[in-house]
Amino acid sequence: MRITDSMRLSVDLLNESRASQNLYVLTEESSSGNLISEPSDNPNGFETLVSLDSQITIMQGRNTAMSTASGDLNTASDALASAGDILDQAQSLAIQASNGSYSATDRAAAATQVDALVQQMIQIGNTKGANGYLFGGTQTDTPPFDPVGNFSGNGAVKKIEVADGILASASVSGAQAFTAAGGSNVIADLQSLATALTANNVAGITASIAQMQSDQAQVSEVQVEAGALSANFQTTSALLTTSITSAESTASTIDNAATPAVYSELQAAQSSYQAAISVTQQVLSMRSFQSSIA
Amino acid sequence: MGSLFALLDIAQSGLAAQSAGLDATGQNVSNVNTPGYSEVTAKIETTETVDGFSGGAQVAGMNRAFDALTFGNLLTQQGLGGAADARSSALSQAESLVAPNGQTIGDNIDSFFQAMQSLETSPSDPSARTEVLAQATQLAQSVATAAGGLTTLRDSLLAQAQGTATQLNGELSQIATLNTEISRASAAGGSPTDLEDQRDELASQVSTQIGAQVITDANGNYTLLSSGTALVADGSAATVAVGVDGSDNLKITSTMPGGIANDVTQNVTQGTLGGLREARDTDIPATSAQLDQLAFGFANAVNSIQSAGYGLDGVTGRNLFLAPGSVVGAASAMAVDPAVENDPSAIAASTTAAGIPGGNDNAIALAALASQPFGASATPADAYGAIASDLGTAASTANAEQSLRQATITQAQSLNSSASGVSLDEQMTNLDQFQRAYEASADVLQTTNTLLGELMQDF
Repeated sequence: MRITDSMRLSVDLLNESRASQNLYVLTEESSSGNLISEPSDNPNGFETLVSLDSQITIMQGRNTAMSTASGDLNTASDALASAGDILDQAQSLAIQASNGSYSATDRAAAATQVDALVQQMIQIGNTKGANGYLFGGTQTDTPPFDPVGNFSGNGAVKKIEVADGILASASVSGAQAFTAAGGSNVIADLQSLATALTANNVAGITASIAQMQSDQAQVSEVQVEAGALSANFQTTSALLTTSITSAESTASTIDNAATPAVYSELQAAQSSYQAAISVTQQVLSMRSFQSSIA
Repeated sequence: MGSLFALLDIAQSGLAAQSAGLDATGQNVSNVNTPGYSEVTAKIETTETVDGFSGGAQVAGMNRAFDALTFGNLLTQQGLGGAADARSSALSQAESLVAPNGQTIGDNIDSFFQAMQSLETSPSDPSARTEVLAQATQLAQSVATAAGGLTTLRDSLLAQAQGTATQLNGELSQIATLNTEISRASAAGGSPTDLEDQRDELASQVSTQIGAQVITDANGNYTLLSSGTALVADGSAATVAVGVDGSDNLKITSTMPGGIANDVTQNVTQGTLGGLREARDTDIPATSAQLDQLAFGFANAVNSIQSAGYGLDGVTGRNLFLAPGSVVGAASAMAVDPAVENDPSAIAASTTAAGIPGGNDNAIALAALASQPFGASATPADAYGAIASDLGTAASTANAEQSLRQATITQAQSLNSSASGVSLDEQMTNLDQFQRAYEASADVLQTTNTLLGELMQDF
């Protein structure tokens, strides 16, 4: 084949251009740390990354929701434990006051203590969490219990999505814990005890002892539910965190430039580019030589 | 029988012939870097003296190195390369619109549903509601911006195609003029190699713009064919015009002087115009249609749930996004409904009025859209991923084609150059050869002159 000067130069320029392009790509990858900066770099990889990013975002959102719900459930559990303590105190006062040695004055003093317990119970019923009142159902913006203990909330239980199409309870029902919806009206029962104490009504006081016991069980049942739900969220959250880590790892495998390999390729590309420039210089110097012998 | 005077003529013809060889060599060396230049050689022939003896040399003209086969192959590769360059460039721009670095539509879909998840957790929280509106606005804007950008890109590609046609018409006109000049010069016995080089170079440029093949007749006239029609015939050049048809696709016509416009659109597959046509009228509309489908489906899916729920103010029946009238144009028109865009309380988190403000069942349904089937894809984000992937595949294919064509053009240039290019190595040898021959002819002249001088002294 007859070799002309423009052949030498055009082939050399093509190779130099390719070496330059390769160097550019590797420089971009090593500086950004990513193999995919636009879809054409790896169309299937880009599509997979979009899908993985979406899954990760959804799982992170669910984790955040579960974390918030778990916190609220723990707060509710603590509040219900306090409610149980109050009922325990009220039951103790009732037992003491049912003793025949107690005078009317003693029972009136006990009634005052029970009135205070009623106010504490109302405060517990109006406990707030991260997103409003915990025991009002969907009535989260106003106190579910008024100052005299009337309930204005509802029995709705908040749900959150923990997996595709799977909902889990993120709250417990205040109505079930404190009102007749759960069996007894706890605050009304406390108020009845106070009334019996004030009236020096021993039969009424005695009847309240069993009622306090029953109320404790009612509150305790909801407290256990809150604790169990919170524990479930923590377990699910841990599993979800593992899934997130796995998805992030998969995404990293697709997108992240393996630093040692890329640097190694970058050095090879630099050498290749320098060689291409050197060849160009030699091609041009051949022309100088030709000119000199002419 | 020869004579000394005849020898003088022979020596003189030798000087002229070698001088022509030196001229050709000098011309070749001077043009070694001239694009499209073809090597020339002096066509030196033997002359005969009147008495039948072999005589001197004469220059019959200049030979131009040219191989029609390799030149035709070069034109073919340049046509394919021009198309690949134009398509690759256009699709790179489209990619930057649909999948910009930093924040893609996919990222905005994720952020929108992330905000919905926060609303699911905190349905009465004003900041969660404000965030939903902000992310909905951001998402709608990113979809509308991408769709609008693609429309603008198509307009820009039309303008580019029209600019290419303008340049092309100038070149076709020059080729026609050169045809006339070459024909005239050839008829007068000349060797218009420089004009032929110019014409070949112009044909190369035409091929890069629209694809071309040439047929040369006995008189040296070009007929330049492209897209199934003749664009240059003898001294006439067609006018190529680029406009749009009723479907807003490119319409390319070719009109010879005095003729009627010939619609060649479907045949234009090569050169810049071919690449622009494929990107503008096939690749980009496909992406636009997918974006429209995404916007239409997404807005309707969200609106369907949103409008069934209740806002914090107890009102129901409100959309979040402007209801798209049709699939076509849904992406560029995507926007948050003005009736709710400044009213966070309008976000319907509850399915019932009684569930306000803490009811979150409707927010759950809205957030759940993130992981529900969407058209042929698994989720809305996957639908976006498929759009970007399809465009990326087209761009990747175009880039690979461009890279391939760079190589095949270089190879075709090499083959053509091998047949018609200048080799300085050869020219150095030629220079020496003609220089020595010129010196020898000069010696013959001098010797003849000496002999004649001696002869004259005898008289």
